[in-house]
Amino acid sequence: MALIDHLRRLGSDVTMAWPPPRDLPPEIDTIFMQLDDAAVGHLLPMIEDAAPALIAIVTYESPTSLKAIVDFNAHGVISKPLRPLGILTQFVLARYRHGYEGRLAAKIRKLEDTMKGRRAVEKATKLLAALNKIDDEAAYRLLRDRATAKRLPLASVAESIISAHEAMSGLGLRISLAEGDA
Amino acid sequence: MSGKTQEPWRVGMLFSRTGLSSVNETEHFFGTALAIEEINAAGGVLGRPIAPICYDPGGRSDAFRSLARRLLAEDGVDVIFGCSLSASRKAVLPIIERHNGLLWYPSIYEGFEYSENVLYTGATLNQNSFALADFLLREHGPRIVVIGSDYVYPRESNRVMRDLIESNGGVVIGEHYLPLDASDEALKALVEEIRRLAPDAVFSTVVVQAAERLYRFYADAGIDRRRHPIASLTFAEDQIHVVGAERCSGHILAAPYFQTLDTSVNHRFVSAYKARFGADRPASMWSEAAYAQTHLFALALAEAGATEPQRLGQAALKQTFAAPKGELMFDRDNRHVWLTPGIGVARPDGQFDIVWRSKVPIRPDPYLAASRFEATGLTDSDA
Repeated sequence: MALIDHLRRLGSDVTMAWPPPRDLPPEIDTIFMQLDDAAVGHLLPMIEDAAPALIAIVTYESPTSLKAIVDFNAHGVISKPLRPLGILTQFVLARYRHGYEGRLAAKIRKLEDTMKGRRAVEKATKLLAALNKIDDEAAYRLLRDRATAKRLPLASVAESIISAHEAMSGLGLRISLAEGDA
Repeated sequence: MSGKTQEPWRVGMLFSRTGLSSVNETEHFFGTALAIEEINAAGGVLGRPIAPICYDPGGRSDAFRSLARRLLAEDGVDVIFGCSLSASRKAVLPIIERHNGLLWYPSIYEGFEYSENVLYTGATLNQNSFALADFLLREHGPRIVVIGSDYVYPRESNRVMRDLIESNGGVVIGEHYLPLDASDEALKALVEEIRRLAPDAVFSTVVVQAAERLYRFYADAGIDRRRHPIASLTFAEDQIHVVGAERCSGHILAAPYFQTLDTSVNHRFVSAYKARFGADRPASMWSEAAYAQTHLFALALAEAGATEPQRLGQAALKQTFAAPKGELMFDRDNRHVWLTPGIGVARPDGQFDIVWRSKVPIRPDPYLAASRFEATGLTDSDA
């Protein structure tokens, strides 16, 4: 097939998989996939799982094809009849967009974790302040010193305090500071 | 087949006999013409002579485009021998593909192209630049200035040359581009800049007429060419002849062909060329590539029996021809040819001393998919 020959010409290691396999081999970076001929919807979970760069091959601009391109989150599109000019461009674009998307997603995950941690620290600070009748700043210092002493992230110490408080208050008990910690 | 046997095979020729690129493209023209005359003198192909229809695009991309269309759509030819500058090839490519023609392209170029409607018979970068970078760093030193005309071939070739130089311990101390039709003042200013930088070598992809003036001004400026040579992939015997041999000695060319190649096939070619076009006209990589590809075409046509581009192209990929530069054949995967890289230093008589030549032909790698930049280009040398 012309596409395989051209991808090899560009220096890629290409495998043809038809019918579509149940699982993607783990080392696949990029998939070229025809989206508008056969039913391919059942492949979506597998592809979402492996998250390779995906280049759609389309023959039509029918609404069904267009929806498939969006559903599969294609990073590039080539149209049939295939010609060599344009394949490298879509390939490079797809690799770039895939990488960029990956970096953005990782950044968002990190930001979400940070925000979650910050909310926990805030809540734990308020808890400690109320339970021990100290001001917020002293409560925060207490929390931070504990984390430093135990070499644990501030957020996880805060989360432990919150869950301990929730568990104990459910039993009608309350947290108090260990001797000498005040 | 008999009965109509004398009806000729009609083909198109699209080389600029006038305009900025006329020196190189006239060489393409003469090389093609010589081969066609030889083939016809030997009885043609399957008993029919080859009859070329020739147009002169004058080096202008729009003329290349409209004349390619005329050849394919009005004159009804399938096969065009033509183009030299990448700009003109890029201009005709959509026309050739739309009308399903077959372009035989004889020039060196920057690679990164593949079309089922083109056969590429000139060197691509892994067949000239790789060895040249190594040669310049080893023989001349690490400080290199890179210059070029401002279009796709120089930009891409210089990008690759920069990578090669930097991957092998050299430094690009200057990079400059001038328009294809650069003024004398701009060229002289560039020469002055090179004198100021005093590099160990200049790598130039300045082409066509601007290159001829650049080399002239370089000589006039009195720069020592043995110590600060200009190295190129294009400035061959034909342009040296135009500029004057005494002004070009010491400059370097990386190419698969030099007139001084000492083989019996080449001696025959050079004598035939001079007999046909004048004793003082040198052969060069430009005429030889066009000559060789036309003979390959004739072999392919004899096998295919038709000029229909897909059949003819498939047949071409199987042929070998004993060309002046050596055995010539296509790489079936990428439609470019295997070539034996060489490096020549210009002599005071306008010919080249071949100071290095690969012992084996090198596979064309137009997408630089298999070529390693840090690998030494001269490894298989007998330098």
